[in-house]
Amino acid sequence: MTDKDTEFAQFVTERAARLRGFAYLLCGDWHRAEDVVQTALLKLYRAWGRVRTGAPDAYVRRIIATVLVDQHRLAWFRRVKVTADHSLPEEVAVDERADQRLTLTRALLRLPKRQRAAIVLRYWEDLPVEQTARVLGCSTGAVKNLTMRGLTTLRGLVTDPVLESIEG
Amino acid sequence: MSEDLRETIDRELYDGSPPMSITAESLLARGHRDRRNRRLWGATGGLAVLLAAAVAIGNLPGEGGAPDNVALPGASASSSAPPPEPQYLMWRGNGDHDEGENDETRRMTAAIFAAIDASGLQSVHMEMANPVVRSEEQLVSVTGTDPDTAVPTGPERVSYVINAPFRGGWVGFRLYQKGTFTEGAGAAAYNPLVPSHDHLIAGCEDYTGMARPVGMVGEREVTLTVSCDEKSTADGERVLVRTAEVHAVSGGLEELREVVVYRGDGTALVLDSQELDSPTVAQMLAIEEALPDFTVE
Repeated sequence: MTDKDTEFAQFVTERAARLRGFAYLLCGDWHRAEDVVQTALLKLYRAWGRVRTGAPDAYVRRIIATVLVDQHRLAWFRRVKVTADHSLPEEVAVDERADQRLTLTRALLRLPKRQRAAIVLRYWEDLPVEQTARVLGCSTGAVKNLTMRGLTTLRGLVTDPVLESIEG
Repeated sequence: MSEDLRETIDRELYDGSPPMSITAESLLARGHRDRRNRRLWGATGGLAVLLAAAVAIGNLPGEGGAPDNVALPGASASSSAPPPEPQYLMWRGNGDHDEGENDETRRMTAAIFAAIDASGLQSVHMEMANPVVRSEEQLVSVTGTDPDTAVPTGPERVSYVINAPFRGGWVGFRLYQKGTFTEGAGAAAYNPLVPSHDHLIAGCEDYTGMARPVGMVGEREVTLTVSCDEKSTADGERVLVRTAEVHAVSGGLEELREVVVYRGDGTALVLDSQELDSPTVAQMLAIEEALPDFTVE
């Protein structure tokens, strides 16, 4: 194994689970999250020579956010199906029955994509506003606006005390 | 405190999450294989592209070609119920031949950012932003809606793709080679936003239909209101504009906009945006107007 491969393998071992969690919070689908993280890590491997001394984590997060937040059309590719039958799919119905309580994560998944991504990056990944803006490709003002709107919506969906202490 | 929020989400997130199959070993094996394939591709690519183009021209249906998809939503349910496991033809990106930037993609990236600025929007140059990528796609046959059933069944084609950021949003660009699509509106495939394989736009009829997000928690179904309009550029090139309003059960509303320009040189450019504050159709047309001609193979 080359040094490059060893470094890359170490990065994957340390970061893959967290990146999959990040992708899940953006799309709400574990399988899609894993697909996207795998694709992003393969792209990272190809670029490892120039990215490894910089910010490989930011590079991968940027790819994941691009696919799951910005390439909306591609995301719909997988998860939309035309149907005349409006009943719920069996697996989702079972899932809903199992836990009627709206958790913070489920509430988060109901937010519009960019608001959700801004909150995940700011409060779950703990990125400063400037880095969040770089990942989302917008201004710092837009990030503040997205997080404020997202937190307002979240507070309307759940009454988790954790939300009350956060200033948007 | 955001620390509490992080802990709460972590607890909810990892409680019952499926085991992860990604391993460093499998990624390294795949990465090595891709590198070998790219070397092989480099050696045989010219002939492969020529053959693919010949097959593509022979296979693409013309006007009135046999449809490969189900009926549009809103059509008579009694007479057009889709078969249980229909097969679809679709283009699937290989994603394995991204060779990074070259002179051609660098020129295209610069021109697109300049056109965004010329349209009155302010482009954003980001350290991590993707430049224009040369994307290779394979025509595959899919059973049902499961992408894992895809079987290669036709030619490959090349497109050039970028999601370009500007202050306040993003606009997507896809440029397609001459001879790899049929001009004009097609019909929706299994998804009302996805065109049949030979077209670049999924129908041009006004309709309202239901769609169900698969595998999403919290969202059960959405209503799509689609409309379409035909225009022409100042140079007389044919333009199709399609908008889809997506009304989510939770009350959210998004609007997806697609502008397809069939260019005089036989290529086609698709611009799309997907947020309420992203470029309007008029702004997308202004961006296209400001773009120079690209010569693509």
